Amino acid sequence: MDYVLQVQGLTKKYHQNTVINDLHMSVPKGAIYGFVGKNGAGKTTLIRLICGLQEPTAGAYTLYGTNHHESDISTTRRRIGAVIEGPSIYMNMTAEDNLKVQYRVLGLPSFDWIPTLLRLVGLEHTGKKKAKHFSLGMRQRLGIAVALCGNPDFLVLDEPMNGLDPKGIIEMRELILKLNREQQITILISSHILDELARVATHYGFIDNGKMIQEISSTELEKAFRKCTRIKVTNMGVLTRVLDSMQQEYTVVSEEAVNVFGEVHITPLVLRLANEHCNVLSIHELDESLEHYYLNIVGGAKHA
Amino acid sequence: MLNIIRAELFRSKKSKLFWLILTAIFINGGVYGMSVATSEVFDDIFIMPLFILLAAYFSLMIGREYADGTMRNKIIAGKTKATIYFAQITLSLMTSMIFIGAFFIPFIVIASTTMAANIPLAVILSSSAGFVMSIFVWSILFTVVSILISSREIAAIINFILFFAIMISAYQINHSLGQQEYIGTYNTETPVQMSPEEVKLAVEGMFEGSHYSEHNDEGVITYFKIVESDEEVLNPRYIDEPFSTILQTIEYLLPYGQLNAYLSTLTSYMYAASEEDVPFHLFPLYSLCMLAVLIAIGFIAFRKKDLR
Repeated sequence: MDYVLQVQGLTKKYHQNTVINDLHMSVPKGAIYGFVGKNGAGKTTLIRLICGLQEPTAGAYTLYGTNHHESDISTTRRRIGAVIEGPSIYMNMTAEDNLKVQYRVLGLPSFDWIPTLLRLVGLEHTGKKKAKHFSLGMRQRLGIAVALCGNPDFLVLDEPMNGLDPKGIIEMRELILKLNREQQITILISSHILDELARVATHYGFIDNGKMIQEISSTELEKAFRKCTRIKVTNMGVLTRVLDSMQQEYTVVSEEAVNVFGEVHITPLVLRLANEHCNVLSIHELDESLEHYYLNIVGGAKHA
Repeated sequence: MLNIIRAELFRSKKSKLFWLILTAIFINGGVYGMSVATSEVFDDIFIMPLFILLAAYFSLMIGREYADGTMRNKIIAGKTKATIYFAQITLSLMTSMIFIGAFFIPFIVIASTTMAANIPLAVILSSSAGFVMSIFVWSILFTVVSILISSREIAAIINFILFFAIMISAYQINHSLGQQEYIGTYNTETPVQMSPEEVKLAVEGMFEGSHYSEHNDEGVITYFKIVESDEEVLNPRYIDEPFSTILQTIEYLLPYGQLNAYLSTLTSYMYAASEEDVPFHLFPLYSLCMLAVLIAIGFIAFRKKDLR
């Protein structure tokens, strides 16, 4: 598999505080890589490191096969676009002027692609309006447009959905999918809005306390989700006794309901409950969410 | 580096702050020209706004790069910190030249007649060149502070404090170096009774020197004169060699010290006074040294700085 980014044993310390701790990570080409972790887990620090804003204390990373110690890492970095901790735009300038500044920084000879870029992010009608008068969603999209100026192959988005209203979130999601599918841009998104991330990501990396806990593709993740069945009955005592005798793992969620994990053989279970005069009120399968999965593995890491 | 300079020049052109500061400096140049033309004194008080405006401009313009997060775009676009730093230094020097032009044009238009009548052209030109060099030092100082401190408000405060600290230091050094080695004392504790001739002169108001009179209970008036003592005492504030030379060099290394020297010399020409022995030929060299030191310190610190 081709990797856009590979991180090997990366560590970042601020004085005595270790923010990134021996972290390993691989972002496959063409993926939408969801980088999941709670606030302070080290997501933004890692992004700052791979974007060259800060130097790692130890370890290394390679971008398109170029090690960060090599002199031509700056040239390789031109293949990246990034929006880190909010959009990096000049608030006192129009959308077009912001793009012109970035075009000049990149030394691009022509502004011909600017209207296309503005159309791509849905800002083609902003005219003379300055960025300070934009909504947060528009600013985020302008930030992405600035990041796209150099026609990058790899886009890094740090919490792109933070603070957006539902409409803004939908627009952002559609833009991310469009960039990945139509422009074949590999995207790394850090987020703690996991439900939204689950709608776009093809790969996940779970980080906690500066360490990568798990990397997994969305296909593998779906397989790994533990099946859970919620059963409601009239007699909780009977149900728990039967489940114990069938060696099923379960948790009691209320006076009349339990969540049963793993495969449940419904017919023998219902028959045994009926024999003991316990009526089954309802049975339905629950989908485990990305959030539950993350909390499970983070909890697991803490107790390990 | 040229790409960043082009981008930043475009940004300056679009910036209200740039045009506001440029206009303010233009007005400041006019006001200073009028001050010189009317008072025939090169007073530094009317030139101070120029430095304050420079401090404000560089703090706010560079600080915006951090506030808006756009400094990040340059690094992510593959520019090295060295490229960004030296592009900013070059840009600051270019902007300073524009500001200097805005200051000098109205100043020369208004004050040229007065100056040309009293000051040789060579002195005007050499003072102007030295002044421009010292402006470069100020600009680079403000730039280095602003590029190293991510908060534009804190950078602005530090730049203002630095300006006033350098100004006060230059004044203080100048004052200390102006101290006489010996100071005279006046013997007022043992008054000397005046002779009848001296009393006569005192009554007529013709006596040269200080005197006073006392009268006793019977109304007899006695006149006393205050005699200056012959003895002189060593001034404790006098600075001897080699410290005086060191302090003098420090004064001329400080851009405000140079400014004071230029202004007092130009003023002395206005009144045909004797010139002070000031090593003006060394001033550009001092400014170059200051520029080199500031740029080097800034570069080392900026390379180590973690950007956010």
